Amino acid sequence: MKLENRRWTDEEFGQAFREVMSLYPTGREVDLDEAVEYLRALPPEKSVPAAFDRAKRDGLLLLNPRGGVATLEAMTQLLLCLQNEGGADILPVEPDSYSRRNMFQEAAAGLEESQRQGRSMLNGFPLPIHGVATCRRLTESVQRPLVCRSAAPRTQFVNTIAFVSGITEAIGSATGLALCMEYGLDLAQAIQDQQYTARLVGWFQERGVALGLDVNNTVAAGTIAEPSLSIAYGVIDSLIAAEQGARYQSISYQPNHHFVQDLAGMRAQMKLAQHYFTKFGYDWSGLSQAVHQWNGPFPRDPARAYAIIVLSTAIAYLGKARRIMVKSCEEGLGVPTPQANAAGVRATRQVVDMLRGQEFPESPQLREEQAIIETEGRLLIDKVLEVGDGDIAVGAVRAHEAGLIEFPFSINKANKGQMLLARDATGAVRFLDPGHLPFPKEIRQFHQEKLRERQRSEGLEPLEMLVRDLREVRAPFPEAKTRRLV
Amino acid sequence: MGKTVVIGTIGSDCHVVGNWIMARSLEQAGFKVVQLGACVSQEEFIDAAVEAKADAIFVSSLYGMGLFDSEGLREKCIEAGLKDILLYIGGYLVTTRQEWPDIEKQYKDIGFDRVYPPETKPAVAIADLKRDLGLS
Repeated sequence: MKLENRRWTDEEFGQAFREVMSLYPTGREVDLDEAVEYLRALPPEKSVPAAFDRAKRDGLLLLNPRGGVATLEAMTQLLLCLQNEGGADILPVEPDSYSRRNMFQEAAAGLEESQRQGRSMLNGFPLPIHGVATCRRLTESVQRPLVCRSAAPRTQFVNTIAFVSGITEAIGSATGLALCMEYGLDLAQAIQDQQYTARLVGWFQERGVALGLDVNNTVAAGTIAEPSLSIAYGVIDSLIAAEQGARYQSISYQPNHHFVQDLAGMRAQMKLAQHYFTKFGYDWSGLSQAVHQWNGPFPRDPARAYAIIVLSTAIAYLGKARRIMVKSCEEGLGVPTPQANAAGVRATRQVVDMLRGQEFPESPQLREEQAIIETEGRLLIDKVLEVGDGDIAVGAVRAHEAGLIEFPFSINKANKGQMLLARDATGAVRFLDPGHLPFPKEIRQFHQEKLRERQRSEGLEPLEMLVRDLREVRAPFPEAKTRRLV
Repeated sequence: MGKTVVIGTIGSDCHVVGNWIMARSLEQAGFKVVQLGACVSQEEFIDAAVEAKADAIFVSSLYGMGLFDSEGLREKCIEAGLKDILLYIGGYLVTTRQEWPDIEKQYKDIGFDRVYPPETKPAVAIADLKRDLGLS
């Protein structure tokens, strides 16, 4: 099939569905018509789209922890802990990395080994191996909506199993996941794979079942991102999903933990998303925004980890996000325990309760930052549309080939890899080298000047600055300089 | 000195920041680095090591399933004629809470020469590598 940003026909979808379901025996358990009945009968409190509608109406920030272990028993305990001890609003089902990549033999062996050893040898719940009946037992054992955190590009199988099992949202991001996670995956192929999940969501929507799509875009990388990149990838990936009929989409914004830059970036992201949805005639009323607590390397020290959780939450709340992906104070120690994840949710809730009713004040700095980010975001998205002759999917492939848009620190071969980012003296993320991004001289100079300020105060080489920015959320001021100041 | 290191994140693991930093540090220390990125299979590590005549393979694993992914790597290296190659691994190496000596032992048992916990400074591994290669 030739790549196009066009809604798949029923024949195209039907054929893709049959191919996907033939990948593993549990695919035979999937009956979409039966699933429509099953999902229609779910109570509203099990629906992620309904949770977002309520959050938008009442101005709430939904708390969504992470988590996944191999066996049904352990996974059920984990979810009950997050629900009852944490008070989470949306519960996670993280598939293990093998299931996300259709490596079913490895996932099955890992599940068996986990059962044998009595501890999880997989880093998630292998939905494809468990099959629909077992996954339904899991979803029926909790009273909250669930999301399948299928962060990987080729997740058609696991997402299908998730939806028909009563999980009402899945991760889907046309370009972002491939760019973030796979070296050799062809970008055009990746977009088509993701069109499948978006079309599946659209197919259910047409039958009166609202399912959500979590447009993960730049956040999964665990690095820093200049806001216009979060915006551009968020808009590109959500437009591609909207064409397939996905109405409820949660667009991720990757926070840099800089109040002015992040709040400006979050506003600009929603404004531009609405602008481009309107331009192409899509309904944007189902769009909402999600912020992830820092996705990069966490400190091992729980006290420092909590500080990051608190700051991320403040930014999400003041930026009026509708969901925050919650981390735990044990993030730096490895896969966190259920109790640590529940504690992360309680810490996040405490910040939200304390901030209730507060607004971040308008200021010239905020307006100036938003204007720059918006300009950059428009330049990136318009360039993608231009080189695609109006087709955003085709444009995304061509723009990457030419380096006209770049995913931060991507490992995919489609990414040019000429763009570099670093924090400025205040911690805002700037372009250390914008590569071939379609930015005029004034914007390039603005970023250079901001980074020169940091270089002058810290006395570091550009690459040293960058490495420090990747090693931890924000490195302390270089030691020698600190001593000189005091 | 012309020593070569092949580096990558093994298995189905997409985390690359650690090996990006490690690769830069190795280059700065004078090593030639073949950077394979993420989701690297055992075969890809070995093919790259044979082609580059590498002295060491640096394996990164951040998602807890490194044992599954690395089992048999040493044997495949020997089959491919890389009988003296150094195998180092670092990262979040298990999915459950375990004491470090236990984790280290499990990985040494399957043939790694050096095993590193999270937050190890690149300089530590580079100093070990120089020692193991007889450079210091």
